[in-house]
Amino acid sequence: MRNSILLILVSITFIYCQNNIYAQGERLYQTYCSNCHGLDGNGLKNLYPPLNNSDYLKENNEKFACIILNGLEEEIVVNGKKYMMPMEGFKNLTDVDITNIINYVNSAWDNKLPETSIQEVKKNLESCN
Amino acid sequence: MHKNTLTIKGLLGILLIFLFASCENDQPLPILGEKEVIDGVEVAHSIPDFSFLNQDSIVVTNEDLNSGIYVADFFFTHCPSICPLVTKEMLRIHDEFKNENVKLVSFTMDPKRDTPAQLKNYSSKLEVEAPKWHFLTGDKDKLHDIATDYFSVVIEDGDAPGGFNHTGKLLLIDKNRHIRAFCEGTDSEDVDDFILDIKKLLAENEE
Repeated sequence: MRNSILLILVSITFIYCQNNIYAQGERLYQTYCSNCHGLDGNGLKNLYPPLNNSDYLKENNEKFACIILNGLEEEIVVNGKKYMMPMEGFKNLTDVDITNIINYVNSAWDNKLPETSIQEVKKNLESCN
Repeated sequence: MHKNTLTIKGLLGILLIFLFASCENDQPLPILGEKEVIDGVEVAHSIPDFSFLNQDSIVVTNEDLNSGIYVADFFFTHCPSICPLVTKEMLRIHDEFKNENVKLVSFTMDPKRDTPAQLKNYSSKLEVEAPKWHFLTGDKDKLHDIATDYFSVVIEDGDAPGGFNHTGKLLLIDKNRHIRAFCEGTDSEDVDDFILDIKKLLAENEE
């Protein structure tokens, strides 16, 4: 009996931890991104593009780190809609912060985009630093 | 016996609280703001005359808004901090009162970048139009001055995100230019209560 309770507790903890592997990224997302892109990642009308189920994000995942750091001025097309509100960059974020945000967004909501590493983020950032 | 008296007292107390609460509910919304004394007469705070351009480059004055009630906020399109949250709540109010005599007015605090053309662009991306929802721009000092009349604070600050420090309040204005309710536009639950206040003011107008 005692063993089974322990087993259940361990399973719950395991499942809980599995769901929160990007807790740090989630916290950063809520600080820097969710005001515009929404807690649900769905953006706002035609003003702020979605990050959830976004073809742009899927096809340009290697640009993700540079966009977070430097923002984006140019018009982009996401899921067939044009978006042109400029986004400010977040120069205060470290490579680790950026990696955490990317990994959170890539796996949040309906997203099933690949996990990235700090090495890959550093490499991607070379193209815009 | 003693116990019974206590129970009755308790029940009466509860009844009183309920009565008081329901009575409170029937009160009209208060007129907010500091009263001024003009020529020895107390005058309630009201929104002064203004004249700004909206997203269609049409002049909008207080007179254009006083046929009904309106909700006001202060924002700017380049605002990376709280404005998108406030705009989202304004949009919720817009959708909730689509067919009622309620207008929305968003004053920019950044007229240098927020020209009528930029505001037109912003409002059409939001899929809203004047005269239901005016986005107003004009002289910067006049915009910043009138913010004070709407209990809002705007301070130009190069170190703040987007260049301005500001509050994110939503204000409810009646036909007589009086502020009748406000809420924090970043707090969804506070906006829920504010929506009830709008309904109350609408009902007051129909009486």
